[in-house]
Amino acid sequence: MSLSANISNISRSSLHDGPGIRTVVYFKGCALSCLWCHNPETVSYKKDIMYAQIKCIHCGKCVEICPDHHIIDGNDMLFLRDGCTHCGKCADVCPSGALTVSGKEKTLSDVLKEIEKDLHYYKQSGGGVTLSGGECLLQADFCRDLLKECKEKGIHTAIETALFVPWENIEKVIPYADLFYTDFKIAGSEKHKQYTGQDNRLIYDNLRKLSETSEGKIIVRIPLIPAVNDSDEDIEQFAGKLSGISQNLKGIEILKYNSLAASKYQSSGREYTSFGDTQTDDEIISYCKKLEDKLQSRVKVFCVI
Amino acid sequence: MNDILKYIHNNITLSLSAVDVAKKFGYSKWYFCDKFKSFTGKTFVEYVRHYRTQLSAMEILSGKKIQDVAMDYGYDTVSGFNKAFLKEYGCSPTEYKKQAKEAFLYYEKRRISMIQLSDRCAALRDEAVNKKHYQRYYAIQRNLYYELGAADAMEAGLTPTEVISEGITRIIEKFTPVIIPGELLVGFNHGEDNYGELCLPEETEEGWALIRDNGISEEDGKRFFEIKRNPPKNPTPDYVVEFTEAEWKANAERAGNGRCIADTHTVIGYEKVLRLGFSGILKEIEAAEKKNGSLPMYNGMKKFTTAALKMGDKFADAAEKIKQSGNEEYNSADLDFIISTCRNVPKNPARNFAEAVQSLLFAHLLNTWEDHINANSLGRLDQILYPYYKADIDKGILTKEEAFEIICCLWIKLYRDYDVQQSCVGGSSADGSSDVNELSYLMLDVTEQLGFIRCLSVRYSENTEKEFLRRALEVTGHVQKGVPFYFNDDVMIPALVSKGIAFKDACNYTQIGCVETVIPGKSNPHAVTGEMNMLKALEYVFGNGHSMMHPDYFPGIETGSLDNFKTYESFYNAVMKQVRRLLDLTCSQVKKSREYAVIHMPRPYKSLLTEGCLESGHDFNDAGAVYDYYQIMLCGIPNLADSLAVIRKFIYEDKKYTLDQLKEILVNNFPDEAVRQEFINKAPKYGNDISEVDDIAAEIMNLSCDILDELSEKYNLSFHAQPFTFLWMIDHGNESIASPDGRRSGEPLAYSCSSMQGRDFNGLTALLNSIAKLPTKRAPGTTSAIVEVDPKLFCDRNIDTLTDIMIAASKKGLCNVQFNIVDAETLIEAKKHPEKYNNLAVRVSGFSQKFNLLSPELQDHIIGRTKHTCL
Repeated sequence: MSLSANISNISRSSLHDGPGIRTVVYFKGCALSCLWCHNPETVSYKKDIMYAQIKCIHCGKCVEICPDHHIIDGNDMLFLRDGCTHCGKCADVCPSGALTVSGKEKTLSDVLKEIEKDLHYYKQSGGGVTLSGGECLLQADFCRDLLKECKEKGIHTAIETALFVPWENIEKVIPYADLFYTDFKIAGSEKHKQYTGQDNRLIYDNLRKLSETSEGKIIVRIPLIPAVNDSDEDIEQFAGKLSGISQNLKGIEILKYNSLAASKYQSSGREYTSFGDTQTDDEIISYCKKLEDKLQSRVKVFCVI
Repeated sequence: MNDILKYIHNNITLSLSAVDVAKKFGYSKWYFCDKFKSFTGKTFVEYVRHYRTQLSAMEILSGKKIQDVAMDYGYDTVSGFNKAFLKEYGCSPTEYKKQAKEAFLYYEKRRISMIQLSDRCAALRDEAVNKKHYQRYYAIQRNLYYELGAADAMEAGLTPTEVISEGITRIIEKFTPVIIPGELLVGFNHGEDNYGELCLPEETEEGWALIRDNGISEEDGKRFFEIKRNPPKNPTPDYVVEFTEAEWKANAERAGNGRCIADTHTVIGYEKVLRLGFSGILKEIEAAEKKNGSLPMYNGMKKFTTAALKMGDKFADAAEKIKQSGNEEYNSADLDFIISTCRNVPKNPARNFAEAVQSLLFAHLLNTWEDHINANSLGRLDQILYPYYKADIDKGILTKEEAFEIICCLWIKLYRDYDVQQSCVGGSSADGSSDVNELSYLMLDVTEQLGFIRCLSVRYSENTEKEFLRRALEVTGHVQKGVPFYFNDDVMIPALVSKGIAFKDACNYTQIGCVETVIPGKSNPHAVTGEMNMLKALEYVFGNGHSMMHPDYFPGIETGSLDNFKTYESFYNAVMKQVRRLLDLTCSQVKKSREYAVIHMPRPYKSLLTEGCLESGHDFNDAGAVYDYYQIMLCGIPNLADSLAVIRKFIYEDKKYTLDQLKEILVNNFPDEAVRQEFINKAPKYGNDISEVDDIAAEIMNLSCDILDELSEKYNLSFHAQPFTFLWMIDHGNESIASPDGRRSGEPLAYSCSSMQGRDFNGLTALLNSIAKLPTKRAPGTTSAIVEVDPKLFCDRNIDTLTDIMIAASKKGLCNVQFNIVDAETLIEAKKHPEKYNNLAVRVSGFSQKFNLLSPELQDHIIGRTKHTCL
């Protein structure tokens, strides 16, 4: 129980990351850097200082406390991140919650305690815990111990992962995970590298291996990004990559693109890349249909609109 | 086999048969069919139909004409296509198109087959909502005739109960029986407009026009204005309630307020009118009179009961007259229906479902004629009406569709823009079995189909069918008007029993108006009689018994100077001393006001239909009912708990401020915004499942319940705790200085036991857990909470999970919850004041996000979108 992990956030009452009512634990740190990431504050392993300008009351307390007195520009209330050491003192004194820290070392019992608060809801609904991130499997020992404890308490367990981790990390959690959501972003290796910073060979190898050990427990999630992975050719390629393992999958989910994470980029001081307009429902449906056909209906393709 | 499937897929638009396909791939038909079934799990025909309809559904959604789609997919006729579609989707393609527009694809609506609104009901609904007939023309009769009757009785020197009875009698005798084309149920309340305003004519040209429109004679109009100018002398001397100085002051600043609002808040025994008719009830009055001797109450009762025997006939006569006139607006079958029911009820026992509903409506109208509509409520309608429904269905003289239509007509009759005429469905019996019946579902269906404001609550327990709760939540999601609301029997019944109500009667509880609890036909609940503002108790500690809003007021008690409170416990004890003081002032005011009600506010009609009154000869307002209790509203529990948590942390733990400094901050209404934000964000808040503060809330409520038990003995009245604020959190806020929870001076308090607005940010389950930690089983007056939810949360695919959330929270002790499904206006407000709407989240794709974290453009986008889906 001495283990601890770098956690960004624990979010309760989630209804869409697995069956029933769920608590989602967002781990910090990811080796990919997808340009459309919805949780940009979880990508870095370091603490992130989040600044929600809309909540700022311009009291200047952060300016006073900042050790180098140059992190915050007192006049414009602009967060100058260049010299920031992520010490978090500004967030400690910020009265309005405009400045917050993403990333906190939490012990296993801290996290378990939070999860157990909704135990009766899980029991009633068949829900449980979902580990997400960031890439939770970069902190695989913690994940393993956490899931093991959850299983012992009869809590359903799910993992949301991009699978860009060494296989042995994945192996550690297989016995304790009831469900895997695995991201599969782009089928072509080069293109994958272009948009996520890494090529996808490791991801695909891991997915193939996982599909052998965890038959019927995997839902592959494809985030549909306009003009990146939504052409007919992409469908063809996805189908080609997935056809060999599709019979072992529980399903494939196509996630519609949206630009809702823009403000998170702003708060965490990152540059936001827009990929244009979101797809229409009809486009998503026809995409699902085509992919399902290409896979000869051996696996159900859902659209999440 | 994959090749075969591919072939089918490629040729799906052609006419396909198993024989042809088998032949093409060189198999015998039987072998092929066998193999096909074992591979696909479907027969060939089923598979083709499935695939075809699925594709064609996509085409239909893309906007193609249904006829064209049918042709494209190899159907010779549209009806063949419809048939195939019906088999796969359970509806016609047209319907599918309509439904799918609003619904999530792939999560198709699990619609229970529902009866649709008939043309008749659609027209009547339109008329009610647009107030064509309802508002103006029949709105003054109740008040005018009542005044005439009462004035005559006063001039004759009669007692108050006889005066009121005379008023009711006069209305029954004189009102104009109006029948609207198409309606199956008749009768108007004739007293209030749609906003609950009482209508009376002024002595002007317009007033006289109103009098003529209402069919009131000139003679009666003149007499009415004469009475208005020279009111008759009341033969009963005025009773003056004498409050102490402290009582007046507590009352004046809404700190502790006691009165006697027994008026317009009842559920009485309408069921008795259905069972006996007024002719049977008349015999009961005579029997009681024989036993107890002649009493003014009995005289009055006999008078209006005798008049009520003819109430139905007035309508039957009117219907016959219309029939003879040959007015083409009316359907003669409808008129015959009205003649048949109204000739029998309310005079005689109801013989069938339609008569039962009509009789119930008459019984309700008489109740509203006694003291207006407001929150006079109807009770457990599915239980009262079920025997009649069942008998008719069994006899084959009523169809479900007809029953549906009659309930529609009743709902339309009850419609108001401001509606607190509550009715209730569901519940559980004393033997633990579920009371849910076919009518419970039918009433939910009607509520959904009419889609307007209808004050409806749902009772449920661990023994209630999950499907019923699920269906109710679905209706909440579809109607999006915050109805129905939910009451947990497993909390309410023990709470009532703890206050001396027999278990069997407790099981029959129902609601008045908003959330007030009543044992129908057996109790006078004195709903919302007392109200107490917790934050004033805190204020009085800072002022050592004095108000700080009005420094010359001294309603509290001296708890000493602030220097004395060296520990948090000593401070907390001082607060609770002020709470005790305020509750005592509230209850003593109730006791005194009660005397006034006994003399001046007899309620003969309510007495007639409330068990205990007739038998004992005591009026409803003079402790005549079997159960006579007073509901005391405990307001501001969440604010006091949050405030105490701030004080514990900043004054006693961190020692960052002294009590004197805090007092300065509060009196000056947070001169430094940073301090206010610190108090809000750096100390735990109730509503987030954080024990440190939730436990304080539970402790405050528990102690208040103890105090009310003591005061019940002191004043020899039964006081029920009711942690409910109605709308008065606004008034209480106006009368309270800034509080340590970060609430500015004048801002509203939290609604009932919901968290303070915008202070719950840990999700729905956390909020429900916080509420459930309160000692709900000690508060039979309902521990009420409103939960604000995004309409997306209530979409059909989430209903199962929401049902589970409700069940799980109820097991923990959740008592009452109402869902406010947030609309665009709220979102616009949320955009302007993000700090107040912390828990508002929007769901888009793989994640949810809090509304106030979205960029302004996206907020606008979502505001626009939500408005759209709400249409």
